Amino acid sequence: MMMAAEGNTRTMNAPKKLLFVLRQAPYGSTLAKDALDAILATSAYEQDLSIAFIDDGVFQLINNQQAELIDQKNIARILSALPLYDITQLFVCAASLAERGIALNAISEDITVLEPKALRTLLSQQDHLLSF
Amino acid sequence: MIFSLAIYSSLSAQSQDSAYQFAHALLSQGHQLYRVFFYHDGAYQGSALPCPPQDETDHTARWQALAKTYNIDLVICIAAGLRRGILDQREAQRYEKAQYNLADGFTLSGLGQLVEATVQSDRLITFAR
Repeated sequence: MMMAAEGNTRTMNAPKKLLFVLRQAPYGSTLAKDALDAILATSAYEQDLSIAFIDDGVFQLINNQQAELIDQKNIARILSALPLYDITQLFVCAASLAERGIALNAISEDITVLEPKALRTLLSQQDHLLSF
Repeated sequence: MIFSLAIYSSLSAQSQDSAYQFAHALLSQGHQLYRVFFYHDGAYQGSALPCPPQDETDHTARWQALAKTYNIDLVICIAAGLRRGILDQREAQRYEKAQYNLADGFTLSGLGQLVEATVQSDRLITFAR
């Protein structure tokens, strides 16, 4: 976290609905980790924050990741800590899971599975999408 | 309409060029650009040191000129910058580095600047890859 240097306003007008759209596999690039850093930073600003895992982003949810073996930080472990930051609105695209052959019992239980139509509705309800 | 841009791509990616073209287009049509936030590999765009051949685009100079004309806030994520060796004088002293290289017109700041820009803008447009 890098919030310590900025003691500026944490609340700005009314909360906005911000959806972080995560499309990156966890370890091919640091962008997946950078997205989580951005999410954790945003959690300090009292916005209506939610996360959607789409496309290769669904790979971030797989249980039993062994990131230590490639000297990476475990993305799944960071995700499991999100409730500590009051981030509880997590969604995953059912079609993206199916396309990759990922069974529901292979991913975290604390996540809402959405069919594409429901996902589109979720996207359309937001003030802003932050895409990674 | 008030826009902000988030740029994650480095100098070699078409998307960073698209970001500039988009910024230029929206400003020339009378919209406002609240902030450009450079994150991830986008931080490389804050280096003052690239020396492209004369017949190629000088990306840094282009952003600087746009920022000067329209008074735009060009912010490099400080954590992304530090990881990639994009330092201002203060950070160079803090990390005891002999040099610093942040280009004029850019500032280093935290991810809060991305959040704030998002909240203050009507549209956040991301240029990722």
